[in-house]
Amino acid sequence: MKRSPVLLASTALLLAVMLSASGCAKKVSPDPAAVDRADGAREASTAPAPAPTITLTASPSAIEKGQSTTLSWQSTNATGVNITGGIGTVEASGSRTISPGASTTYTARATGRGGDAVAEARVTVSAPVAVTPPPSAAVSDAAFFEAAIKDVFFGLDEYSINEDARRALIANARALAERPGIRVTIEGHCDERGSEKYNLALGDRRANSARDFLISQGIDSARIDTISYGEERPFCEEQNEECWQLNRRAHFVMR
Amino acid sequence: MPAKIACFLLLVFFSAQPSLLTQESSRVTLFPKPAEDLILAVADVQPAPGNAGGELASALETFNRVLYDDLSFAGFFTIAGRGFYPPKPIVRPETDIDYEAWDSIPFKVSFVTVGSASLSRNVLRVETSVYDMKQRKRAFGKAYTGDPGQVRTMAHYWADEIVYQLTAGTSRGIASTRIAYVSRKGDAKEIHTMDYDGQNSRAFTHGGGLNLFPTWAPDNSKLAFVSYRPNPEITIYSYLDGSRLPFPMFNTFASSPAISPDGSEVIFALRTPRGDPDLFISRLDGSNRRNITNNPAIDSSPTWSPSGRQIAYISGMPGQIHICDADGSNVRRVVKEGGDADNVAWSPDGRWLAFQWKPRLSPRYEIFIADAASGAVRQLTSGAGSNESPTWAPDGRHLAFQSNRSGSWQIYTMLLEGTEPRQITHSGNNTSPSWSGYFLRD
Amino acid sequence: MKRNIPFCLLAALLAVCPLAEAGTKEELVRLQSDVLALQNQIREFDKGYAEKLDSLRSLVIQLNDQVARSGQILDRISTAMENSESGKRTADQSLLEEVRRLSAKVDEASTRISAMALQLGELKVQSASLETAVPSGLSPEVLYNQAYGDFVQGNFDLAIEGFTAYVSTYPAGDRVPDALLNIGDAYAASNRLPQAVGAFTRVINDHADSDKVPSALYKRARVELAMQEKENAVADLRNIVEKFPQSPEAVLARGELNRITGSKPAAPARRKTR
Repeated sequence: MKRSPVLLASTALLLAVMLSASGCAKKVSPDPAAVDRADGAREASTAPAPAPTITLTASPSAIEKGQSTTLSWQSTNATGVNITGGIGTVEASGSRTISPGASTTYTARATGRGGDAVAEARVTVSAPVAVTPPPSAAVSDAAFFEAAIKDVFFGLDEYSINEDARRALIANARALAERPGIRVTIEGHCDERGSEKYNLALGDRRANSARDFLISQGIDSARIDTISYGEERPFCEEQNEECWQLNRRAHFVMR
Repeated sequence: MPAKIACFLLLVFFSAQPSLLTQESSRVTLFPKPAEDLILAVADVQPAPGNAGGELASALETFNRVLYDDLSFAGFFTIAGRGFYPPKPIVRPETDIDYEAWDSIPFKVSFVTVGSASLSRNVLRVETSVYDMKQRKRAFGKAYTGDPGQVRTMAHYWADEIVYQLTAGTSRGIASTRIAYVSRKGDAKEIHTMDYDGQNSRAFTHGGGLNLFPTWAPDNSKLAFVSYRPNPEITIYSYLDGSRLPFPMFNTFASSPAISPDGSEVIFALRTPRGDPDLFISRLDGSNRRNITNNPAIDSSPTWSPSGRQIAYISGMPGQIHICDADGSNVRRVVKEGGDADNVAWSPDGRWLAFQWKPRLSPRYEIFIADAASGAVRQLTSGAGSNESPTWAPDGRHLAFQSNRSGSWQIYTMLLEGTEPRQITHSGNNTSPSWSGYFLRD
Repeated sequence: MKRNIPFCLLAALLAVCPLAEAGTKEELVRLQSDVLALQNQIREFDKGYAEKLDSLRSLVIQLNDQVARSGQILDRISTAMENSESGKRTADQSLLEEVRRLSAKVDEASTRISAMALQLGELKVQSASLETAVPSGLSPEVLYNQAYGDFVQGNFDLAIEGFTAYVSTYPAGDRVPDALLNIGDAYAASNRLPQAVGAFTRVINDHADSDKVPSALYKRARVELAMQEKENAVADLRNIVEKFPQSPEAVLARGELNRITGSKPAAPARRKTR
């Protein structure tokens, strides 16, 4: 949610740069071709050369860090194909196994007599599920809780568990399974934008969504209490999306 | 803590019921309707002959100011501006009212309220009357006796009497009603009550926890609210002696209580095993609890129709206004334009639902009213800040609400038309107003 | 339909004063029906309403004036009563009280009339912008909404009158099932249980396609329980569960069935014919 405007902006920028680049290329390229024809084979071709096409796909398009994915491309009417992201010049059609360290947008450019064509594919790379370090007997429950249990966050006006929250809750469930003595209270919190009454109810639903998920992961329901604070106990008091996102959370407290 | 409240409330109770001896209720003036074209002049109450002194002067200064504010906010009369009044002070109205002089000012005054006061041995006595300027005679009057500290209450009583008499008993004044609200104290939120003009504010809870969403029993005998113990629980206190009524704790999530018009039942939101809050009605002791709504969505913020046969409430994400019958059947949506609504309040005359609403694409809440029968919507507030949590005065002509237009959350009152907005709290952070019913007196 | 409503109103007010005790209620009903009659006139005028609106508005203004004048008369009457030498102070007092209540009702009527005048004004504005669309639905709405206003305020007798007038004037109106449901509820609230059952039955039988049927069945079942007709109630509740399993009323009906029959599955009951 928070990231999306940035993402959108950068994608738009990228698109704009590419469009203007290819627009320039199209304008310039016919002229040398015409000169060629005038010098050598005037009769060889009066029809314009067909424009090249290219497609580019990544399968799967989302991976965890360390995993790999396959980039495939196909082009027609191209004299050369180049792919960004450290791949370079490649054959007209083919595939490559890649393992990017971070999310990357790959751009394939086909150059031909009839102009240029561009295609792109995005590979999203997410951090792997945190592997809880083996517990040391020397670490107290409180210190363990502090290190291992993470709050989860929600979308605007939502109480469903999204992908990020799911990862965090799976990790929390593993940690709680390792320390059966720990009991938690899950507090439901909201940003300030709804009404107070509505937010109190929404906070309750958030806390319970988190609790239900932990129970589905095998945690004893008796170990988990919930309480809703609605918008009464904000973590951040500024009025911006960053702050609001921080306040839309299920907050874990050790009892 | 309850004992503390009890002591405290006893004090409040006795001081709020001053020995305002009321005498001589005179003839009733009849009008066919609340006369908006009726012009009322509010002449200052004067020291009675032989009475002088700073203490009386300052008491009368308060009395005259409060009376003027009450009557101009009543919404029934046009108040003639003081600058036009004939300059002669009216001490003995029989001789001091110069009818010719009153007739020559630029508007036709229908009635004038006058009075005189004395102070001896710390007993303030105010004698007030209303004169009929057309008939050129006294219409009605009253006398109030009490401690000088009660001078505001005296003025409120007299303002209410004037409204009652000049509307021929079709309306009672709201000047002696109170408003319950939530006041933030650091991390805590406490229930307070204050006069309808924001004065005379007192804490009702002192626990230091979170107390939210107060509502009055319609006869003012009780306050119901949400109190964290440690989960949000339905909490009902006697307003008369400050004792807590027994009500079951649910240890999950309970919110937004509202006591029925006949005072026998309470409706509230409670989390069901399915995980979402539904509405329930029970007796005031929690017995005979029954499920009213069964949505797999958030149901919240119920309000009773004056007859007690219908419930308006909020349901869904975001909240939409619905009405169902008090047996839970016959659910229908009232406002069909979408958006995000909450804190619906049914008007005492049954005609309107007031609520806060953020229409689609609108950045903040404003106060709206909808015709309960047709769903037609009218906007009451606009401009700066977010305006939320409307509550009706018992006369159905005034509303209170919370707004952050000043930079912090404060409580405001206004007329039903959205006019005459007044900020009545000024410091700290005050929210969730609930206007009381009429207090019985005389 | 050329009744002189202002005159009726005034006559009603004058007639009621001397025998206020006995006449008030009857007169109130007549007052109500006068308002209804006025609404009927509005409906008639709707067809060629461009010029007729104006005459209707002047009628409303007249009516308002009349109400104001009758108020003055009341004023005089009360003064006269005060002045008349009489030992029966208490009788006077109760009469005065009666007059005051009456005047409150007149006030209510005049408020309603003002509201109607306002609506007429709005209608005119609408018609100016929407030449083609003729809003002929004004009257049924006003009729229904007024009855609803009485209903939510707890004036059940007036509500029954109003809704009944709506149902008989607009038998094909879209809110007839609502009106019947409310009539039934108003009867139930004033403890006239057989009449309540009658109204709910009309929804169930005459408006079988309406989405109000589950509610009517549920309400009828509750009244039947109050009338100790357990078998009928159980039959109605089962009916909801079987025929409208997705309705909110089905949840309520299951709860009610559990309360009545305990957890054991009871034998199917046949509905007694009525």
